[in-house]
Amino acid sequence: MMETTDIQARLVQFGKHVDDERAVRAGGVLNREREAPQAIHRQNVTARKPRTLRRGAFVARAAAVIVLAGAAVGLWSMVNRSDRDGISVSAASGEAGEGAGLFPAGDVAAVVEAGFDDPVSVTNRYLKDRVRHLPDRVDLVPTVGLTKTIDDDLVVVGFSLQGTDDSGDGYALVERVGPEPGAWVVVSSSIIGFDVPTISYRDGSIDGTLSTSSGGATLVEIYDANTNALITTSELSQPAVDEGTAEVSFSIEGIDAPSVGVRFWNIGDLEHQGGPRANFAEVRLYDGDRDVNAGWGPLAAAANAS
Amino acid sequence: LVINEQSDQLRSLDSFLVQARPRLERALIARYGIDDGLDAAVEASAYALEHWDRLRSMGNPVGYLYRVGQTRGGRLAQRWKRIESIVQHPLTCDRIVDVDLQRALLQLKPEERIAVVLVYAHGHSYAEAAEILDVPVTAVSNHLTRGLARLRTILER
Repeated sequence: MMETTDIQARLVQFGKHVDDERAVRAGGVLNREREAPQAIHRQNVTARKPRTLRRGAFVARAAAVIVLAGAAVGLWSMVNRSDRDGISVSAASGEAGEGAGLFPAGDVAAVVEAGFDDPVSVTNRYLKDRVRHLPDRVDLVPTVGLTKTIDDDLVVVGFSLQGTDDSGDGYALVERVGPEPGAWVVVSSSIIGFDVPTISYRDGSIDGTLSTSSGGATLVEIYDANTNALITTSELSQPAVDEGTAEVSFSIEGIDAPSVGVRFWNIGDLEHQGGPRANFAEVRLYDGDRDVNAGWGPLAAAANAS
Repeated sequence: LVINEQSDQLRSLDSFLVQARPRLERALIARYGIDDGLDAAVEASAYALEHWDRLRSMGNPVGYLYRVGQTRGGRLAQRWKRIESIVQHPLTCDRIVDVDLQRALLQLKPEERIAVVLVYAHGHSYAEAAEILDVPVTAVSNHLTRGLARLRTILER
């Protein structure tokens, strides 16, 4: 049987080895401890990636955060992404004036100031905010349920919306966009069955496809993710369920914002469905994002990943 | 007067980093491996410079900086899961040192691994490990007991 002292002796040797490696890496890390703080700061600033790479990193995130595991591998071959149970994570935009997510609105500084300390609290408030502004004033009561931690900074939160004659379960993807307490923000959400197989934002135009199991009409609202100002709305008509639901393509032009929140609310049609439904999806996009897979599919894949 | 105040601030930050940085680096290396751990420590130190006024008023600034480092390192977690050693590509020798031990350490829970490495490999006190993990000393004691027992089991297989 191996003695504890043997293991401890091996650990001591390992510790020395780690310190030796620390000493020779990055220009002598041990020496860096003796440097003035300004020098450390300069090293870090120089090491930061330029903006173009940050955007590339965001695209990687959008691909995997919001994207089905493996489904969009070909789409993202140009970006440097890492797999994480089908989810790749890179930094959200930390640029001033670019929205960090869907809720709370605003850039990273604004999100931190809003101060949601955990994924559940921000999802709860997000849902309460959204159901207050439902099309045609549907009364829905949100309930936040279980969470699935993807990593230290990314969590999928399950929720339910209960209405008088309708209900739906869904997921929200919540991200911590900074180290400070209160940096959690909702970046994507969807009710079961509401898929946005592909959506892109470039040259002032949002193009994509959507599919819902209920058919009917869907209201699309585009918000500036930084200011939360409504930029434009559009109504899309889908075939009714009994006519065979299919993906519907859409294109909305004339958008001028570095980051947007795209809200899809399926408002149904009275003839086929008897009224509005608790059926929606929402996603954050940055100008330049291409072929993001949003909606229910990728969120469910993330929530159910082992 | 302003210059003197700034100098005092920098001196206090410098003093803090000289004390805290080795422990911060060792903890982040144990958490994320040598390369990503050092990157995370650099970012945490830069954060300390930018937010020193706020940080110095905190009860546990080094624990907070560890969390800052985690934000950076956490983004690399999947790559970390796939590697087989903490010092994956050593620069000070030709091959990985005690690869069995490093593999065994990677099978511990992160908090157990960090506690074991800080205390047994680097000689930090229980209190110092507790401070950086922002947990009570009793929790560190539990991590060490369980971590060492698991290490023994893994290494005896």
